[in-house]
Amino acid sequence: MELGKNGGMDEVQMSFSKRVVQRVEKYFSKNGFQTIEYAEENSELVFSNGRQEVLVKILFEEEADRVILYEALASVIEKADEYSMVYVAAPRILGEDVETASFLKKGVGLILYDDYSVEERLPAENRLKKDLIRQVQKPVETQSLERSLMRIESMIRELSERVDSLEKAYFSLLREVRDLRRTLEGKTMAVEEPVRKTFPPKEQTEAGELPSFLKDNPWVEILSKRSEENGGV
Amino acid sequence: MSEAYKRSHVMGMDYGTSFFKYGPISLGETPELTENRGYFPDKDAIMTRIMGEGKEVVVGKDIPLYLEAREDLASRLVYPFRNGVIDKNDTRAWQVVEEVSRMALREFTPKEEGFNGFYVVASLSAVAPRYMYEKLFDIYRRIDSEEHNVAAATIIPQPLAVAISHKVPTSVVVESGHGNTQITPISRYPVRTAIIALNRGGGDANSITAEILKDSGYGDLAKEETVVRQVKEQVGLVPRRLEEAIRFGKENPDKLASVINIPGTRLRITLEDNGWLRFLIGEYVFNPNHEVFQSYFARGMPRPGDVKVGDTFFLGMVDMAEAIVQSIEKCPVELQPYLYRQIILSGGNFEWKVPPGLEDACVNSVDKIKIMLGEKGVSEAGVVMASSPKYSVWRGCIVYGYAVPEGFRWSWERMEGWMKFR
Repeated sequence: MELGKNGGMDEVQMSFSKRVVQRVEKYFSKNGFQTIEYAEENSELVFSNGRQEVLVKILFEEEADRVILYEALASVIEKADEYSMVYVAAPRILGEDVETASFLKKGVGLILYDDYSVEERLPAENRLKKDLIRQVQKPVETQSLERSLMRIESMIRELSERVDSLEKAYFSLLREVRDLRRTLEGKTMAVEEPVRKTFPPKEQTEAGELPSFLKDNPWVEILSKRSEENGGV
Repeated sequence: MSEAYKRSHVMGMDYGTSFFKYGPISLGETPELTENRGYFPDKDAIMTRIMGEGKEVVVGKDIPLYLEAREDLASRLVYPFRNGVIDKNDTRAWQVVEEVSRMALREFTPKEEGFNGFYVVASLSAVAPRYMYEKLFDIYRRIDSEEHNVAAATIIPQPLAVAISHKVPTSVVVESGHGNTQITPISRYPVRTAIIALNRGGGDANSITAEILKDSGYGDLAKEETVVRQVKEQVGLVPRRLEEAIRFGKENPDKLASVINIPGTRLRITLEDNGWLRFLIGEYVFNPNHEVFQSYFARGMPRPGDVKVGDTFFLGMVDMAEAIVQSIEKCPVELQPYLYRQIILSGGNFEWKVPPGLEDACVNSVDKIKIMLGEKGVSEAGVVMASSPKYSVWRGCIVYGYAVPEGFRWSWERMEGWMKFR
């Protein structure tokens, strides 16, 4: 096999990015959207379902930190007027802890991905809804056709959501099994250790129990008499 | 409000030089902690654009999101308590104090019905002047008028809080931080007239470390405060007796040679033949009067001078044991033996290690003070290190708020009691 200039790293990188893009594309296709544009230089995907266009900016794991996430948020906000909905897609490891108030406030959706799944953490605000309401009434036949189409789309969506949730449940069980296996391995090793272990004292106080620095502290009595010493309340 | 309500709603706030420790009594043994600093962001910055509204000052865990690689970073990042005392007209520093206090109160304000505000016990440096108390009460009054979460507040000196958390009613607390050292005798109350402040702290140990780096050929690194601090923490030693230690160091250079790795970088600093200089770092904190330091002063290292901050004189060159003796001797003679029996050392500037194999030449802070006091004729001094130095002030605040009766009103003469805002 022949490796590239960078010892194959570029190829590995490319295939990783490609996988993430494919995962996001798959997610949107389940919701009736097709990719119409992919700008690789700024990792932006544009989807359309014929009526609405959606912009998704993807952050890849190797470049992602919180500051870059907020930069991505700022950049999609700037383009929001051109699309029905705008999203930022980020690795789950980064997005789990992110403060979502700014996303909600600006109506930007947040998609989280990992090796197993893609999940819509925050839905994007549909910016064209108001315009649609104002649209001129269409002929009756077209309206009825559109209604049927929407019904079918919603049934497909429902089905795809059910498949998704089953897929999630499967992967979560898989993770649990792996974790349990790791814990068991760890425990086996701990048993083999010849060292006798002592457990650190409990840090947290139980409900109603006083902290150690308050117990038997002579200052409590001294201080509780302060108002008497100084001429009262 | 009832005594029972007050006891369950005590909130401690320790305004330390580097960290702000805060939280209610319900937290148990340890408080929340955040860096005691605020950032004044550039209005054009990315977070300001995202959030739409410009925050004047950012505090707490969000600061890294706003930091920019700018030359003016130092002027935008404000550590209000760097030297224990904030100037009356330092608007930015007071803004930071207000914002961290507001953040702490908001973080723990419960949604429960019947919540009528916390009983806040704040702790300031022993040398904080009266206007700092007034300013802090104003801050709490303002926060309560907007958010209704401060039922009452009180302010106590940090050394008193240390003594309270150590369960010792009579003691001398020696608190040594970044900028200065305060010696406060306590006999149920802080003996305010006997407090002595030294204009020397961890920052001065950094200065001598920087000089040593220059002498060892690392002049370029001597300008980087973080590097200097890490070198100090890794190689600084407190000599049992300086002259003997220097002799030992020169005769056994291999025992003191050291290589310092700066974590996360490729930097390696090597001290070989001049390893004995490590003793100067610790000695300078306790006694900067030895003639060996004269050459550094002559070459431009600033000599710790006597300065007046607020109403207090900070002495520059007095050695630490002499300052302890002077402070104790300002107290009634009958009390003095009890004070010598309980000297509590608190603060990061006392955290010195004794590496294995160097036990004959160097000591920890407790033994150093004992030796120095012994040389001044005080042979039976009881010296201890504060346990959990990070949290002891906050713990003292909680005990104080728990015990002082709810109805005891603030007195400016005695500087104690509860200040109520409603």
